[in-house]
Amino acid sequence: MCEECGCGIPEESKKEATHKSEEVQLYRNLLEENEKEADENREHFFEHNVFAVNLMGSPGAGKTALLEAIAKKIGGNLKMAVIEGDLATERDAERMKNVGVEAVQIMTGSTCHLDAKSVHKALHKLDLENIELLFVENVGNLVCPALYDIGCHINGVVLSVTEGSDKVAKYPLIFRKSQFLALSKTDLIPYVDFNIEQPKKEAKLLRGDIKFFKLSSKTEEGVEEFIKYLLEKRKEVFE
Amino acid sequence: MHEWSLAIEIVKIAEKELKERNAKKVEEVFLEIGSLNNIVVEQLIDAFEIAKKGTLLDDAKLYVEEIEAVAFCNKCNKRSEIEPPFIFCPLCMGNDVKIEKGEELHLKKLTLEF
Ligand SMILES: Nc1nc2c(ncn2[C@@H]2O[C@H](COP(=O)(O)OP(=O)(O)OP(=O)(O)O)[C@@H](O)[C@H]2O)c(=O)[nH]1
Ligand SMILES: [Mg+2]
Ligand SMILES: [Zn+2]
Ligand SMILES: [Zn+2]
Repeated sequence: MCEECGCGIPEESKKEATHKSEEVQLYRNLLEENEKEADENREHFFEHNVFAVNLMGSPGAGKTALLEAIAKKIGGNLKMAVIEGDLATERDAERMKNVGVEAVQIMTGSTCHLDAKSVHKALHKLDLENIELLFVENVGNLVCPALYDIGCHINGVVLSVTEGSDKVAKYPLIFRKSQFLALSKTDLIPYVDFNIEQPKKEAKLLRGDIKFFKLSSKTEEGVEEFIKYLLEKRKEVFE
Repeated sequence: MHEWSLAIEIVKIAEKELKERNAKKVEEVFLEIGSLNNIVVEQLIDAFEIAKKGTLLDDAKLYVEEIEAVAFCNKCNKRSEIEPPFIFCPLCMGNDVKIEKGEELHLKKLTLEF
């Protein structure tokens, strides 16, 4: 036994005798705090008749470009606003303001997703009474945003054709949590090998009722149809 | 990637419980993680080892029980284990199914030292 460093057996057993341990059964959801905050967001949306859309997708998938295209089509016919989530810069919020849309930027620092709390804070910077359609553009990422409910009425992914047709099965969780899959940059299909049937088929196997859209913000293909879908969903919620 | 976010949530919840119960430190953390969450257990444990540093969980050990995915098929009226990532009934290949297990993200229990 080594007396100098106290590593001996007697020391050990003495230590154990003075400790008292207890098991505590919890069975708690790891994300319960976020879920509570998401419920609060839902209440805000309901109270002010705001239809909210969580727009997810990889960096550069064309989320902001799609929102710009939507804003141009909607014009003054519907009061639209956007919450932009990025690690840094106000660039996306600036882009939306340039097309006449009220926008709030959330800068997450190092966090790769929006959570319900950060969206909640942003909601307080908007005049909800004056908003009918609210988009929350999540941080560009196909992984973490899927875990964090932010309380929107619908969630969806923008997937660009330049990302490749095999992405749905590789990131299954985000597609399973999505009501729609918006395939973007379809004007580029002639330049990339993209099999449009594959994401469609795989998304259906992750979620039977997922809606599929083919969109190009450049040629405006499908933008009108997508807006129509959102307005129908809005009707289902509020009428 | 989301392993890191979850590791931070684990530390947050465990520290709160510890304080509420006036315990000294957290010895063990037991999780139940459903296979449909695409969590890599080794990565979650690695992330936890980093996230716990300098907290009251400094000496805590993390145990993760993985839960296989089970779905009930409305057409066959039967429940079966399903193979992630795709969600369909292995008997009829249909997707009119309800997921019953596999989505768990639970902190099941803690061992606290007083
Ligand atoms: N050809 C073509 N290019 C597009 C289209 N949509 C977006 N782009 C281009 O793709 C790039 C990324 O577009 P963004 O709208 O910034 O993508 P994002 O998803 O908002 O990116 P992050 O917010 O940074 O994650 C830009 O250079 C766009 O001009 C499209 O429909 N067709
Ligand atoms: Mg953007
Ligand atoms: Zn994240
Ligand atoms: Zn079946």
